Amino acid sequence: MVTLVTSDNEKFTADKEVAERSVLIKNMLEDVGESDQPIPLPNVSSSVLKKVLEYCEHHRGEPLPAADADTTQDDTRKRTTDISEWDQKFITVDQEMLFEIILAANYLDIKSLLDVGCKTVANMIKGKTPEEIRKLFNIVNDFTPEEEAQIKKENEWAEDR
Amino acid sequence: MRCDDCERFASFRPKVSIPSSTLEVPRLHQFPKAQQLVLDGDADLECYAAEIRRLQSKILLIEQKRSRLNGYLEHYRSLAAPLWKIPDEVLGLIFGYLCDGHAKLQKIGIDKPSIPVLRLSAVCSHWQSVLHSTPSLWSNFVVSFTAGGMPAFDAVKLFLERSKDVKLRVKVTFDHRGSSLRLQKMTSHPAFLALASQAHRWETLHLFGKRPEDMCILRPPFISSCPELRELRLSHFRKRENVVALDFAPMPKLTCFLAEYFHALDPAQSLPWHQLNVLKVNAKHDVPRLVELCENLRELIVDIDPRRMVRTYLPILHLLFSNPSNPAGPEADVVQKLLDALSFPSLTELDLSNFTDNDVISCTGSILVAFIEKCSSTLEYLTLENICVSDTDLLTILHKIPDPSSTKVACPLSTTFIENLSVLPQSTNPDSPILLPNLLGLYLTIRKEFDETGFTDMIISRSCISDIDKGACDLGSFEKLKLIVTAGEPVSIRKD
Repeated sequence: MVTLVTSDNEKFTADKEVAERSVLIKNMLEDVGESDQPIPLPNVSSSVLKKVLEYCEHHRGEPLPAADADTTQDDTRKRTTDISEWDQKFITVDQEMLFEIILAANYLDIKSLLDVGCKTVANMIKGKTPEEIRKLFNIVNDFTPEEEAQIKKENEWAEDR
Repeated sequence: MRCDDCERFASFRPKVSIPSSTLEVPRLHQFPKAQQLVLDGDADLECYAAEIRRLQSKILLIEQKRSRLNGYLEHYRSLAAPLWKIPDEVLGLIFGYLCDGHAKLQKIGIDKPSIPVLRLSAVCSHWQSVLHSTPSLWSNFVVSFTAGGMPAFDAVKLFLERSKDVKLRVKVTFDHRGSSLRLQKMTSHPAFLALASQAHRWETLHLFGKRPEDMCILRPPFISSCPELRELRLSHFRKRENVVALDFAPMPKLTCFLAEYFHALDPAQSLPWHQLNVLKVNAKHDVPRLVELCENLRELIVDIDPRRMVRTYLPILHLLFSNPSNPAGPEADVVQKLLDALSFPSLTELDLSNFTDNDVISCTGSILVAFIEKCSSTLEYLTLENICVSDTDLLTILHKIPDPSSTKVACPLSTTFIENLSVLPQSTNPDSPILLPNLLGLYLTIRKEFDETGFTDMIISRSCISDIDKGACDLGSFEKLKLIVTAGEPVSIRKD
């Protein structure tokens, strides 16, 4: 078993196999060797780690992506934003938690979870106009009138949506 | 109107009070009173107007303050939005999912193009800067030079500029419909010239055309070489009256050549065959000779039905029948010839599937047995779907495959076949080896008169599970049977 300590000082224990779905934790465990020392995770809160461990537990035993998967992936193959049913249910959380999970997955280096998070955000954006996207994520349109005109010019040959 | 005591604006006191009773009938002696009342009333009206103006300007001021506060809060609300916590590289990943398809760089037509990368750039300056600093998101686009329309040059220029030095994945439709004037117009179009000038960045090129001249973008004088081109896909060159010359500019890195709906492909043509790892051809081409030429081939895809994509991999072979016409027609014949002519010493997966409306395809029997004999030493997966195989042939085939881990036989089978798969006590005898000892998955289609008990016994006999009540495992409790076969694919069953 591995003990993980969150940013709000909560302790979680998890099977080594589950915790090692995080490349960061796996590397840390390899570095410290056989030790009961708890692993501090200063960038992950307890509520988020709970979700992350739920994901890792569900996907326990599945093959991990190769370290160089990104570079060897066939670029010409179209990437899909399909998400499995379980993952979809798992990631149905409020926006705050969704981005926290993405941040944690990025920090802990759990590629499959990061992909699920990114695909979810991509699916939220898909088919929306810039104005709808701004509204969805609370983004301010900070373009100057000149920049707006330039964008309009770049888009004038194409429908914007 | 200011209040003398508190220096604040106060409502004025009107001089004229309007009685609630009905108006008096005018009398002569009331004239001075009326005159005074009108004077007072006019003064009151002016005061009312002044008061309205004052209040209106006050409202305007308050509205301005509210609007400023809103803008101020919006800025901070935006800064506090969870999205801003996401680092740019993760934002880039999200954009990658959204901008993965080919951007259609055409002039406005009936189908107005949707260009995600442009739409996302219009959201805010931060997103714009992330997108502008990710050239790969601008490197994937499609342009069409046809009688129906030409690409938007500004758009092509924009994508070529923003993709910086990144390798390009381009789809080009080129169809001059046999008109030399139109060909000249297309090849002198600034978008064509701009695209050709970047041939050194092409990584994949998918060219749709009809005539050999439509391949001009692959030849001098338009390009001199494609040093980075890995994949060339030529589609729809089906004009039979011309021989297609593949005398393209040098492509030293070409490893994947896909000829789709391509009429004339001759092994004598000057393509760097020896470089190819992946080849897609039509079954009517000289496949054995092409395979021989492509000495480094890893994947072969053969179109059997010209109307549908049929994939044949090397060392994985998929022969899929999708033509709903005569099952024993020319396609079946082509497959028989292919199986006869080819051998794949490292074949790991064989998939013969019939997706036509016909129940059976008759290209099996001795040719299939002979083919498997040539390739069976490494075979791990066998799928036979809606293919007419007799029990005897199938058992012969299975005996020739040393150790497949998955077998999918989706054609009506008899009890005899199942009995041969059972691990009967006497089969533990080394002289009588178990058929398919390491079978992990099995997909069967069984006949109506199928022996259900025999099937159940077969499933149980192949599962080394001691604590299962044999009697409980009948077809009625099939869910339980599924659990027994835990190591492989769930057993599927379909009754005819």
